[in-house]
Amino acid sequence: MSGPQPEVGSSTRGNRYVVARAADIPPGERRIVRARGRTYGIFNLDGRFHALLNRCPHQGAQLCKGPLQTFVEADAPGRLRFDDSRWFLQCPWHGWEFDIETGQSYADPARTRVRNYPVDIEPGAELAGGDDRRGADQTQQEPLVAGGVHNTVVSGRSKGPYTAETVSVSVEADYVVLILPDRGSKETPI
Amino acid sequence: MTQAEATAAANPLADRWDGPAVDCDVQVQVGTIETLYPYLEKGWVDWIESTAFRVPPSLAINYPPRAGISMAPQWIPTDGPAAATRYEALRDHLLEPAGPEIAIINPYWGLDSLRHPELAASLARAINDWLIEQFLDRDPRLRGSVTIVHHDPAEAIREIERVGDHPGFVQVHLPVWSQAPWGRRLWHPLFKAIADRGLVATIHYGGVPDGPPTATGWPSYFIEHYAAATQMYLIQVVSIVAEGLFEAVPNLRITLNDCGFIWLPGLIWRLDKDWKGLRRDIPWVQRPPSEAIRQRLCVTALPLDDAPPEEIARAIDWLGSEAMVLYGSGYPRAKGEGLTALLDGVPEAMQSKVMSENARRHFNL
Repeated sequence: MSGPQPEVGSSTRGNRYVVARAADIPPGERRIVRARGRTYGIFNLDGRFHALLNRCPHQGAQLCKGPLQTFVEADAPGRLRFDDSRWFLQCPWHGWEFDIETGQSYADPARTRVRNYPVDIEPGAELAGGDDRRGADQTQQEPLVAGGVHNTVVSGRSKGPYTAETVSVSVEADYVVLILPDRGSKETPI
Repeated sequence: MTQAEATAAANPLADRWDGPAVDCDVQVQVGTIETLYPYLEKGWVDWIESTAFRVPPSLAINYPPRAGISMAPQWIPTDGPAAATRYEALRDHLLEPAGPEIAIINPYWGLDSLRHPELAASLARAINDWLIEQFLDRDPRLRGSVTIVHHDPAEAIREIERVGDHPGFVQVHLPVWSQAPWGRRLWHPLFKAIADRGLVATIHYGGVPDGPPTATGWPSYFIEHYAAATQMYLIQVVSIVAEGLFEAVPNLRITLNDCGFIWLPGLIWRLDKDWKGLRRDIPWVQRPPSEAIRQRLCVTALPLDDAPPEEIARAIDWLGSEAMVLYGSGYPRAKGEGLTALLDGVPEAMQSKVMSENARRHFNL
């Protein structure tokens, strides 16, 4: 995340933004990209790509520059259990955690609001031609990538009031494609 | 003032509240060590006589006998060692006429400061047996606090198992100035023993002088110790939340006695805020701390901070629950004026909750 990131948009097709080479974001790494006037964090979690709006819904910090933390839970005081196949993204300002796969925060359940975006995957060959049906099929075969996998209370932990805005991302051959909502659809205002 | 004159003084409720009342903070006094002789093995009586042991040191630190801060002058008899040493005095001062329907008594005597584990345990047993025989079994309006010595949690549990099922006991008395914060894991079995018998853990002013009574060192003057006692309660609440005591003992209920409550809303907000950012430090706390605090912790309102009535009302509103505040007279330390100030501040629709209903629910009376 060194230096300003260029506006991406030259390789767009509809609401699909080619934002990076997949090889440029190795597992465990991230890249901040800009598309349609906003910045997003693209994360590679062991080969699975996720994208979040780079804005903490709490007070607007650049959420995607925060530390990634191994998921931790406990079913009794002192009985810590880490799950290193899952991650929380922690806001650099106040430490609030967000499930990176869903954008769900886990604080203050009284004002819980869950928002997910569908995730699509297409091979790179589709970049030029385009075959939306192929993408839909792929989604069904890759449930781990789909948003909402952890879209329920996790181990009794309560979901919080905020949801970091996640957006769809897919890898097309060697390219990461960020899929934003259709123009005119409701997005979180900045 | 003679005992008869003291008896003539009005009880704390008189002319202030004529509805149902549960008094959750009443102290009775052992008075002198001889009071306990009938409840001790002869070997301990001989030991006490030969060592000239008279009273545990922390009683003198926290409740100097006959000092105004420990006992309101109107309750101190001229013909006795202290106020409220006998059932008859308690009855005449507090229960009649038109006293509370139920009074929860604690016999704090400073056992926390005794280092001799067997003597301390024997005295705790004697105090519990004395309380049962001289108070609880003599008046169905009285409920009691189990006395334990918390230095030895296993022994404390044995004593709770021995007397905790007596129908007169509703709580276990714990000093706020404890040997270690009450949330710590070493105390969890003790709290489980308390909750398993349907008892409430009640944290009260007093405790061990093992370390300074402030987090930053020894104060110079008694007023510092007394006015700053709030910070010990604050540390206990934070410890209880963070260590997961509420999660470890799901049926546990806690009372804070003798500490006021205006400090508490700010702490609740602070805990919720910091939990959001530091949650992964204590992942067993899966809900905002305010939830468990509001559901399972109650606090006696007196002694009240010296705030105007409208600000008292605001502070109660800030607590975020009408079920948390309890009435406790503080007898024999207090004379009763605190209740006037409290009722001036509590909204009328909430007064019966504070005076009776909250306590009946909290203590399952």
